Amino acid sequence: MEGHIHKSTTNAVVLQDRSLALWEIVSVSVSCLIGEWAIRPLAPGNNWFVLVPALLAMALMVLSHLERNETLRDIGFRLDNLFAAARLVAIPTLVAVIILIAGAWLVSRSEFTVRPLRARLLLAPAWALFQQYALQGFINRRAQIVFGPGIKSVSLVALLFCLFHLPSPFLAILTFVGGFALAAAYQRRPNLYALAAAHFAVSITLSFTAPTSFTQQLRVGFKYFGLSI
Amino acid sequence: MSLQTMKLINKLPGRLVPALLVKSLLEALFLITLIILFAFDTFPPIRGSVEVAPYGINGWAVNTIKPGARVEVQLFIDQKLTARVEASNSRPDVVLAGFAEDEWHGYHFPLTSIGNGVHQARVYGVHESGAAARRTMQSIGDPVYFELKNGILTEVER
Repeated sequence: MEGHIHKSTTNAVVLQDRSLALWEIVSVSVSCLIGEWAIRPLAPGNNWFVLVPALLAMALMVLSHLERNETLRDIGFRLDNLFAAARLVAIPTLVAVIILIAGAWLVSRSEFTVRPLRARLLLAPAWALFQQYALQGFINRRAQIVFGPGIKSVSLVALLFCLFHLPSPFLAILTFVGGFALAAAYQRRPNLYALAAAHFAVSITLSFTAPTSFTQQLRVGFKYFGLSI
Repeated sequence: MSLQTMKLINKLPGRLVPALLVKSLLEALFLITLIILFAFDTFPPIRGSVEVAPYGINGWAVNTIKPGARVEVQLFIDQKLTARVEASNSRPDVVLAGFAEDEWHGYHFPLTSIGNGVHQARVYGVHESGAAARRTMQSIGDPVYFELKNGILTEVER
């Protein structure tokens, strides 16, 4: 009798934890979508308003890590598995970079150029690390609470990464495939530095070579439409 | 309840539910505030009038959020843009009625280039926002109908 009660209580607690993790994923995703879709059209010229949902999401993520007793090492800010993780992502990243350069050359042909380095690209490594932290260090970990490690949680991460890059069809496809590969790699070897390096390599290749008609200068959300309203 | 079950329950992140609720509430308030500010910034109520005068269409227009600003008005005759001016003529009656702090909100559209007959006139107040990237139009009052005969306008009922 007591064993039955214990089992049903355990099931209820696990279900509650899964629901909570799912809510966390939805909450952080909503913050991201507000930043991408609501700020620019509703408060043109006040792009710093994006800090409101960003800081709220950050506060939630930090609190969640503390509440769940996750350390920086658990999340993936570590060096002990850097090379193992790098080995996992190196070949897919290299393949992606070669495909992107070849694709850009095929599409542009005689107009193919390597664009000069823009100052804001200097921030790209930090931005890539932050994105991978939010995507893998938070969303992937919560997705694993909801669905467990494996195809379901990896697919959810890839889908969300794709969603955050809409409405750009090119980036949506690229981020779905890339997000899937990186999420799978993270579940095997949780190291954010290796994933951020892979993310940075693909981003910088796109910035330098891909025709802007495809990438719209890597704009996503409302900004994609190139409007400043 | 066994000790094991208690331990399991204690492992649940208890502060997360209130944190998620507070975050959702703050984001909702933030969005609502943005939407309200957007609405007032983009569509500030423009009050005014459209009057048929013997030699044109007269009236006044005041941006009720910024009563000291001048409003651009556009005249549409039979749904075609015919003319645009800044409403900055003297209209002391607008101040007396308490609609504006100064009298410089009147406009006048002389009508010379349209044919005789009955026409519809509609005046829109134009508002620029979003660092001049956005222009919105609001109808000032209802459309008026007039008959033009030998260069003289007469209001007609519709």
